[in-house]
Amino acid sequence: MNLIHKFTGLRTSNKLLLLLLLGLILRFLSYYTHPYIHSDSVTYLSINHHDMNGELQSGLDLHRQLPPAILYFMRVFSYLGIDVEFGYRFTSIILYSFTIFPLFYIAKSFLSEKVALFTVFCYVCHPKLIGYSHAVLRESLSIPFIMLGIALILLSYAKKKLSYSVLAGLFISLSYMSRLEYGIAFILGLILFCSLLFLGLIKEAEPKKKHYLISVTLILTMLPVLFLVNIDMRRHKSNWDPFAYRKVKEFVLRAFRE
Amino acid sequence: MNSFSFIDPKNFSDFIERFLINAISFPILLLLIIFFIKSKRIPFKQIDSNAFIIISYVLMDLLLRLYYTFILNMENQTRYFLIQSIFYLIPASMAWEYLSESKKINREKFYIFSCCVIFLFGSIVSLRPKWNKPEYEVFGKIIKEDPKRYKHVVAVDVEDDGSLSFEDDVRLAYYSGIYKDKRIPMHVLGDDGSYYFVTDKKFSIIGDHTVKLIKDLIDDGDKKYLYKVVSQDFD
Repeated sequence: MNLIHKFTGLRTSNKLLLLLLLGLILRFLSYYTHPYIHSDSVTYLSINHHDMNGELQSGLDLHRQLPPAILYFMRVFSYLGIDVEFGYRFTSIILYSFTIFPLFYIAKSFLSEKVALFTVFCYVCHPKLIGYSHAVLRESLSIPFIMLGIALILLSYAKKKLSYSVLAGLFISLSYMSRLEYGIAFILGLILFCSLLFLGLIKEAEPKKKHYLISVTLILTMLPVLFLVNIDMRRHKSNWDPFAYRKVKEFVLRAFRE
Repeated sequence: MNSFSFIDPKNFSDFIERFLINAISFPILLLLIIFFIKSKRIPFKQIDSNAFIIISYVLMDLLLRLYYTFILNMENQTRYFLIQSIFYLIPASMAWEYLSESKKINREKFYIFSCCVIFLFGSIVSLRPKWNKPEYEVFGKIIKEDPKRYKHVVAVDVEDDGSLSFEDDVRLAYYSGIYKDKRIPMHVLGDDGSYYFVTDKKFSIIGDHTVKLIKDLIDDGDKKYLYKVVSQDFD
């Protein structure tokens, strides 16, 4: 009981630091009990291996749809001379562990600090979120970045500051460049939110213009980032298609043929 | 005609298993059920705008997952539902809050008990090693003996008729873990271009390729065989 009293008596920041420590310990222990990686990870590492040998195309041939964030991320470790598998898994643990801060902010904006702390505790001890936090997978980048992006967009709405929205756009772009679905779901969600706002179905959403401005800033930040990366990927035979250009083209051509 | 006839029952059970059981996890699922029972229905107009952003996002993510699973019939992995599992922690925590405020429950005992259950469940499930199949050990030793020679791995798939065939991608051997259910793991490509692999069955042909037994291996009492592919045409 004393332990409970001691813990409840701590300041929120200290409680979060303790949870961060617990998260790091559990993740590093899990890292040591699971020395093996997924089959997809082998493909990603293989692509990096080809890339570092100056044969990126033959690497991309293994996975033509590969979103580029993981490729760039692995390059950093290769340039630094760090073992790519170790570097990626280590960074992934750090990113997943520090995700407790955006998650705390998001959960706190829903109800209370106590609920947010318990949410973070569940996140820290969740078996699947521990297991995947040291994997060499695209989720290792996309989950922390989307969480940070969402927390920043909420902060942007709360403080009415566009700079947070720009930062959110950058992080959501990174998440989009790791797994398309997260970015797509976020943009669709934002469209749904703005539509409900437009129809006047959401409470406390005044002034509406600021909400629209923040959403538009976020999208406008994402566009140049994705455009530049798309240009880089277009230099190779890659099927990564962030603007769904190929799908739209196919659809239009089919419609004309019919 | 049944309007849901396009739903493959296997997809449905797979979705339930990966999403509800694996991704959400049992203690959180229990709290979510309590949340749905205990929560009072909030009128649409009363929902905060911040909450709406998150709800819209999570709803769209779930719709995409449903579309991928049931319309596109795409393969599911538990990791595809991680964002759902993270955001469902918030209503689960709300249910925990409802329970802790109940007059029938000793609050301190409830805190200790619930936190211990979640911590122990998470620790035991996540720290228990799952992928220590004997093949990994055997193959790890072979790679460590001569890492330059055994440079690459190649995956072998089991076909529907039970025969084996090579996948056409060549993978790095020293990144040696392969998900247990998906493929027969641990197959190497030597620097002479020959493929080597370890298996627990004796056979002489894989697809169109003949194989040669290099040596017998014993690991934890189980017999394993190291094979070399003799005739091959991977180009």
